[in-house]
Amino acid sequence: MSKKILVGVLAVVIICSFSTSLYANEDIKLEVNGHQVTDSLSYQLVEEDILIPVQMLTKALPIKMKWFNSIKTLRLQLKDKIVKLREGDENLQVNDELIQLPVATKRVNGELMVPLKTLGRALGLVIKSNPKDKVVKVFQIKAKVEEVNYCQNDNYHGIGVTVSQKVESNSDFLQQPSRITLDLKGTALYKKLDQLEADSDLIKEVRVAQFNGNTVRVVVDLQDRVDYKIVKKQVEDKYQYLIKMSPIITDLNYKSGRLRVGSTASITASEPNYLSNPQRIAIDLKNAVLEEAKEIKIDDSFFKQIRVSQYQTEPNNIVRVVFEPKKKLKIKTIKEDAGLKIKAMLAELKQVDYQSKKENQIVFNLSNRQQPEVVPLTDGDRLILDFPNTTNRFDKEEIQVDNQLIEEIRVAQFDKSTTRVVIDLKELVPYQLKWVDNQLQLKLMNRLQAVKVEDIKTQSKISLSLLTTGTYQVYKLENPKRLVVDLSNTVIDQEAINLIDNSAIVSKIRYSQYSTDPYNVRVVLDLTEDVNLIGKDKSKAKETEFRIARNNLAGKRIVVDPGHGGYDPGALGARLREKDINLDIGLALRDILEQAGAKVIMTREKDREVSLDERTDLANKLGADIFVSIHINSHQTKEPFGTETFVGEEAENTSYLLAHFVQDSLAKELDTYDRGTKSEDLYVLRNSNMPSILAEVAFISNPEEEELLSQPESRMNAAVGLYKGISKYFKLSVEEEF
Amino acid sequence: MFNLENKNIYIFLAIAIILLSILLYPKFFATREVKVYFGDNQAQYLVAENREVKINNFYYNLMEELIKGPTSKGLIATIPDETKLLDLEVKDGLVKVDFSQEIVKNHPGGTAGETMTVYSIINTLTQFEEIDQVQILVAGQEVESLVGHIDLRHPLKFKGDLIQ
Repeated sequence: MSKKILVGVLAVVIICSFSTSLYANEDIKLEVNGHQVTDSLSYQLVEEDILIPVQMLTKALPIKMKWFNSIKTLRLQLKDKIVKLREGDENLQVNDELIQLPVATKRVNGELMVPLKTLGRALGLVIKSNPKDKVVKVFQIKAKVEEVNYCQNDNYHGIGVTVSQKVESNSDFLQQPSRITLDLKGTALYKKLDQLEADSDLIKEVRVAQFNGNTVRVVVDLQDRVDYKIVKKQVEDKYQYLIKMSPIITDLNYKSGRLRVGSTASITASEPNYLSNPQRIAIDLKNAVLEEAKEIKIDDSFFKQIRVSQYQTEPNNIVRVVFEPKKKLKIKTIKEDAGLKIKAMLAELKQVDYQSKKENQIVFNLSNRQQPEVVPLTDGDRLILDFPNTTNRFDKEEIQVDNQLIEEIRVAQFDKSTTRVVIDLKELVPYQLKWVDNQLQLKLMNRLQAVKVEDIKTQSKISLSLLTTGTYQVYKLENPKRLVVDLSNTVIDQEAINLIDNSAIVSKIRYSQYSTDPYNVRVVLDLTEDVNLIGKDKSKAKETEFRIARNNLAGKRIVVDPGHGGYDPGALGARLREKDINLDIGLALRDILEQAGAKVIMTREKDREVSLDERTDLANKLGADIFVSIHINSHQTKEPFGTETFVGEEAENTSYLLAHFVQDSLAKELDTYDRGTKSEDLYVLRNSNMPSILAEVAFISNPEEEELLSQPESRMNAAVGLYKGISKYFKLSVEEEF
Repeated sequence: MFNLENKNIYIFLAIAIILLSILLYPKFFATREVKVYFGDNQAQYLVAENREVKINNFYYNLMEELIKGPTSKGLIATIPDETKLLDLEVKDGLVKVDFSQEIVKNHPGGTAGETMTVYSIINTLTQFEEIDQVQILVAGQEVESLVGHIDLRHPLKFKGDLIQ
């Protein structure tokens, strides 16, 4: 019993394995190229094949058939395939090749029965049996679909389908979801093509499948609507169907210098073409399709109007946008996810330059004026300038600056339409912007940090401490007597400024932010008396100073006579010569006297001999107010030391007065022994008509004093001592006149 | 006789020699007490040293004493080394005293040094009533000044304020 069941099961399994024989006695249908030929095919199942009457094929297909009765041979021709088969033979000749048949052909009921699968293959047909539907399908295949690929360029998105030869094709666009189908009739996929994942914002994917027996369908799944066309062309010995797709412009939206072009996928814009007469800017949007031409009337500050039209459809789609600008401007296109943005760029930043000559000035050369938004950041001490609607010629450029205040300048395209300039500073300071034509000048303000006044010998030194190199100008004003220092491009921090006055001449230091446009600081030094400015009244430095001296000898004519000279060396010390020291002190005295406003006449300004008569004659001729002869003392021995001042024999009181004051201050300044004022019948004092003195500064013959005289500082002290004595003399003589 | 005569002659000669000696003594051997001025060690003042000077060729001898320099400690010679007295002429209260070039050549310079040199000469010579003023000459010539300070183009007189 169980044996019988087993045999039965086995039998079923065996029968099933020969599928065609499963329904040997059932009615089956025959379809050729999708058309039913018969619904009850006479057939006979053989090993892996099915025998059917040959007429079933020949009547449904364009097969040329010829029967050679003498040799019982049937010749079948379908296109280039020629098959010969003999009745009762187990072989089949395809062109010149013999193929073994599963069973020999035989005639049944007068009809020649042929193995459909083997013959069909030989004729290039596709045979498919579907046991469920009890149907055998025969397809005539013309070509193979060999390759499907995706290509994208500026001109189109393309799906290329390569077929071995030209076939009938049919394409359609379907919505929801958007897709394009391309049916290639009489084609087969001989190999399985991978699903094509297009890296595109237009195409989701491309599917290729045998739609039915002799049709391959290519389905392009789209992200959105597109415009498409199919271009067919012979490529070598193959045939290509190219589905060219272009995004559709769905939206044109203009707002203040910006045209937003919305499209079903991204599009590429050409470089703007700037045309003149009339001024216009043309941009081509490649691979774009416009549903209808549009004129956008604007009349704002940027454009008069914008015209958009389909400029070209063949070979590729181009939409042209023509801007009619109001003024000279540049435009820039910015790609967006769907479409693009066309912006009126009002300016281009062409050059950023730090001008070393004008300290703390940075200039921006632009194609057009475009006011930047300036953001000062205390955190990090930087100044940020954002130029809206501005492109630049830099690519993250860094400009190194040799400046005490500016560390670095960086330029970058901050976003699509903003150029950003970052100025790294050592300290954040106020700034000032100024346009000169299309050049923006950024001035960084200097800061006055300290003013210090101190007396140094015959002068007063005024020191200004600035944050960075700055420019100042000094001048005197009367009633009340004051000195004004104007610092341009400078600010003051009231809390931080440091004022020090250690001068007898300056009674008070005042300051103010004199103006804010431009930023100027004025420092006023109130004076106790008239002064002279020494040296430059203009300067450029970070730590800067200038000096003033009392103008207490204004208009005085003073003859300064450095003793000896030329072949007459005067007294000789162990290493010094009197004439050299005399000249040194004399020249220093001249400078000091001149700074005090005196008119100074030197009997010699270099090492040359001048006779004793010449010296006094000069003083007499010029009508000098006083005559001061400078000498260094000497003696046979090393012992004598100190300072002494001589007047002539039978000298006037004025000479004694002058000598007394000079002797006093000279010994004090030099810290030498005061040998007193003496009267002597000295040659140079005898002949002069004005108060005249001869100062013997110190002894060159005394080793200690020679050492003293060798120091420039001491020579300067001698000059200062002489000046002080002279000053006192004139002060007193002036007072006496009143 | 001869002897007597000889004896007389000797006596006569002896008397004559004694007489001559008495007569010539002041001329050749008599001295005068004088002050010779030298500089102090600070060249501030002139300080006198007392000397006996032969009356014969008196002013000349006096200057030679000055050239010799001081004997007392603390006083400084005023006449430069190697300076020689060339000539000295006295006429109507004016002494013209002529020194060799060394008085200039070897002079250390300076008003102080020059004052000491010049006024040690002037004050030493003008201490006597008969001398009124002194003209200093160098190598027989009048000079403007020794080393450029004191005017020597004219005779100088006694300068009391230099004497301590």
